[in-house]
Amino acid sequence: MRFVFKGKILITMAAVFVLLIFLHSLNVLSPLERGIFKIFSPVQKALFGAGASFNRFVENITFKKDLNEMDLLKAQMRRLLIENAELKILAEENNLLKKELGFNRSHSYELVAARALGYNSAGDSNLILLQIENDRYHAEDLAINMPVVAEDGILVGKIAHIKDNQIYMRSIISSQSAVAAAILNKDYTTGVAEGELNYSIKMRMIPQSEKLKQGDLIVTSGLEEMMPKGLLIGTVSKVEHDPQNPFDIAYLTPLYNQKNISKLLIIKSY
Amino acid sequence: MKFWLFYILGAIGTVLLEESFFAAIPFLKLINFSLLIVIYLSIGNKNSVLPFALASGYLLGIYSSYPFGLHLGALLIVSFLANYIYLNVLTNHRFFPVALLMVFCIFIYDIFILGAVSVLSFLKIYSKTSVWTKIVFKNIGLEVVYTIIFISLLYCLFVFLKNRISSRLLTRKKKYA
Repeated sequence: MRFVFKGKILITMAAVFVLLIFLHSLNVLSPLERGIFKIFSPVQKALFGAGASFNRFVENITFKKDLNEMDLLKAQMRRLLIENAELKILAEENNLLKKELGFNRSHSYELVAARALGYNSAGDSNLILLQIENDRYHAEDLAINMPVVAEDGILVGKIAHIKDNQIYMRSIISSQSAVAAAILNKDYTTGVAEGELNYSIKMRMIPQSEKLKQGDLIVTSGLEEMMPKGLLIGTVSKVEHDPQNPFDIAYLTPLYNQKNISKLLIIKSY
Repeated sequence: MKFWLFYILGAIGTVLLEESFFAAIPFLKLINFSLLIVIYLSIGNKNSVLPFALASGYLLGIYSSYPFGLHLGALLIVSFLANYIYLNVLTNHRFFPVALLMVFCIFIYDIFILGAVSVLSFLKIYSKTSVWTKIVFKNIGLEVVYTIIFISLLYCLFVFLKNRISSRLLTRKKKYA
C-alpha cells in the first residue's frame, strides 16, 4: 500500500488538529482569531466590493441594460414605495390614534452600522457575514433575530447566528427565513413572508376572501419579537389562486437587491 | 520554514478570495477552491498539503457559521482519501479518472460537513439547521458540475499553452540547428 502520509506526518496532522480544537474550545485562540478577523477585514471589504462590482459588470454585459437609467428609476421607485408605505402606515396609525385618544408612539430606532464582508452557507440557506462598523457596539450587544435594514429602511434580513465577534445575517430571500408581514391593502392582511430558494419571497395562508393585486406593498407587521412594524419588504408580483385551496399564495419581489449589499444597519431596539 | 509560510499565505489568499470575492460571483460561488487545491496537492503526492489544509481549514473554521473544526477535519480527511485513492485505486492517472476523484472528494467533503452539522444539531450543540433538503442536494450537484467545467477549462488551457510553448521551442531549435 502506497501512502504519502506516513508515520510522522500522520501523527503531526492528527496532533495539530486535536490541539487546535482543544485550544479553540478553551478560547485560548480567541485573541488570535479576533486579530485575524480585524487584520483581514479591510482586505475582505475590498474583495467583497470588487466581487459585487464584477458581478454588476457581467450582468451589464449579459443583459445589455442601460444601468444608469435603470438605477435611477429603481432608486426613484424605491423612494416612492417607501413614501407610499410610510403614508399608508401613518394613515392607519392616524385612524388608531383617533380611536385611542391620547395614544402616541414615536419610532426612534437604536441602530448599529455594519458592513457585509462575505457569504457563508449554512444548510440550505445563505448567510452573510457582517462586521460592526461602530466602535461603541460589540457582537455581544446584539441578539439573534434582530432585523437588519438597508440605509433607506428596507428590510434585508435578520441576524441568524453570532459566533465570537462575527455576525451572520440570514437574508429575507433565504430559505428558512420567515418574517411576520402584512399587506398594505384595505384589510391589512397579515401573514408570514418566507424566503424561497435564496431567490424570492412567498407569502402563504392568505384567505381567498382577501383582495390582493400585483404591486401591493408588503411591510413587517410587527407581530414578532424585535421586529418593528412598517419596515418595507417587497411588492406582490404574482398571486397564485387555486379554487381547490382555501388559501392563496402571494409571490413577492424583494425591494433590496442582495447583490448590492454593502452597508447595513442593525435595529438593536425601537 | 519558508516552505510552510508560502503555503500558509497561499491558504489565506485562497480563503479570503473564496469567502469574499468569488462568493459574490454567480457560478464561482459554488466552487470550493480550498478543497480543489487540497485535492490537487494531495494527488501531487506533496507534503505541502499539510500546511495548506491546516491553514485553510483553520481560517474556514473561523469564518464559517458552523462549529469550529468541521472544515479542518473535512479537509484533512479528503486529503488522506484523495492521496490514498490516487496512489492505490486509480490505475490511470489521466484527466478523467482524476476529475472523477475530485467529484468523489467533493461528495465526501460535503457529506462529512452536513452529517456533522446534523449530528451536532441533534445533540443541541449547534442551532437547528435543516441540512438534508432538496436545495442542499441541488447545490452539491451544481458544485460538482461547475467544478468539472472549471477544471476542464483549466486543463484545456494548460494543454493549449503547453502545445503552443513546446511548438515554439521546437521551431526555435530547428532555426538554430
